[in-house]
Amino acid sequence: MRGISLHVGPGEFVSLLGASGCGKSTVLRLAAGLEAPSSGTVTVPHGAGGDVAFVFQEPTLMPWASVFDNVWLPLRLAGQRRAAASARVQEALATVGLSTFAEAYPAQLSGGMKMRASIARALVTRPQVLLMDEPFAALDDLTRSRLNADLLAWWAAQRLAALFVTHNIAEAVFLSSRVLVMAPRPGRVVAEHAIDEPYPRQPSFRSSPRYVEHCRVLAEALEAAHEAVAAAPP
Amino acid sequence: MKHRLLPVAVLVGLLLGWELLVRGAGIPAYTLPAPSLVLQTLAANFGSLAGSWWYTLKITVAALLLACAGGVLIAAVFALSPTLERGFFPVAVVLQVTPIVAVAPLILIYVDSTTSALLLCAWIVAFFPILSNTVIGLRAAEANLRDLFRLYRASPWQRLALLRLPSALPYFMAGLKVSGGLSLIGAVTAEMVAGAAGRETGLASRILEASFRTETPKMFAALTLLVATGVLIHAGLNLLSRWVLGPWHASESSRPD
Repeated sequence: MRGISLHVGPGEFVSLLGASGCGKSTVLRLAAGLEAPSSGTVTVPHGAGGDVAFVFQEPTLMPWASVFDNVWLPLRLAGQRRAAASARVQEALATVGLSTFAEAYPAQLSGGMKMRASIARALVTRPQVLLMDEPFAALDDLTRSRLNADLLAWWAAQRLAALFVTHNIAEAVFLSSRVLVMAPRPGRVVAEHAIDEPYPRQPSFRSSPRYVEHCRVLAEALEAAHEAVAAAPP
Repeated sequence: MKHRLLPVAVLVGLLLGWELLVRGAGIPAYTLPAPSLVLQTLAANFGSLAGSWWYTLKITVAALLLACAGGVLIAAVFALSPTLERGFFPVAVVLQVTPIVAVAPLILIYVDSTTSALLLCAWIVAFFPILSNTVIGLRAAEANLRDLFRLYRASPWQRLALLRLPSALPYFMAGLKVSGGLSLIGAVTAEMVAGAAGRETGLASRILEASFRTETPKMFAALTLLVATGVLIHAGLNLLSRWVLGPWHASESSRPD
């Protein structure tokens, strides 16, 4: 990876768009502090509540623990007892619509519900930054668009700074205020495209001509990124 | 229901065949007693055999419990310190690969109390499957979950208690099932080596004793109790496994393959 510079402010929704192998996930892992950069710096805000939350491509729930215990985990690791954390956990579960499944085990949930539980776990610390690594890639279209709409609502309600990795153009356009197109070898940002559309965005936005136009611009940028790579000597 | 009836039917069939063979061929009881005679002998000697059975059971269960405690504790230490693991795992392997019958006479020399010596022998045989399985299990936590725990700055202790131990549980249960049978084998083998000595004696001593007197039916009666004990331990551990892993682990899922 080379020359990556990006800033995500509060209330901003930035997507990293690119084919596999272009280092999107690495950028996310750097931002989360899960990997250290060989050069350069990563700065995240430290304030009230948990500062950074991460949603993985897989739901990454502990299979031996109930949904409640899974969502409780970040607070538990910070030293909060079950009773003290209960209200926050219930609130996070209510936000994602899983209140009635608090005592269920992950194996009893559908793919979409598992991802909701995973997002509840991310939101329970009231983070300032939400990092998501292709969280909806494995879901069917209907579940994915519902979660996209819900995600925007949660993001707006908590005034999160969201950094979202995807290879899906339509998803990036619907969600983002800004899209960064990445190219591989070396992983870098080759284009930046602002989606100047007001929030909250309705599902009808998906069928508007402006939406289609944004998709076209991004598809071309992605195509150009790949042609440049194909033309370059290995 | 069918899957439960089948093994019972096979067992009954085998016993019936045995009974018919002994009666039909007129085999003398001191060579091969019929199952009915074994049962009669068991009933007639139950009072004295029960005491020995209780002794063997005590050693077996105590050895298994100590094997759990020792195996998990050592595995946890290995998990927290790779250096200790590199240094001491071979020692555990040496203990495991040395045939217990060969070491038992030495242990009987070094340890004064026969009961403690038997316990030690049974423990040596039983602890290794729990140790090696738990060591693997403690390393088997999913990579993303490990990242998650790092992200939320979990302490090494929290990682062990909330992530690594639960991840190791299915592996531990698999080891426990093997160790359950091994602790009984260890207890009986060691007592065979120790011979019938002391005030309290287990089933192995009774088998030896009966063999000296060519009381073959009594040997079979004691053997029957041993087999029943082994089967009970196996069934008990299976129940435990279902209870512990049932709600979440694929190995106890009721879904067909």
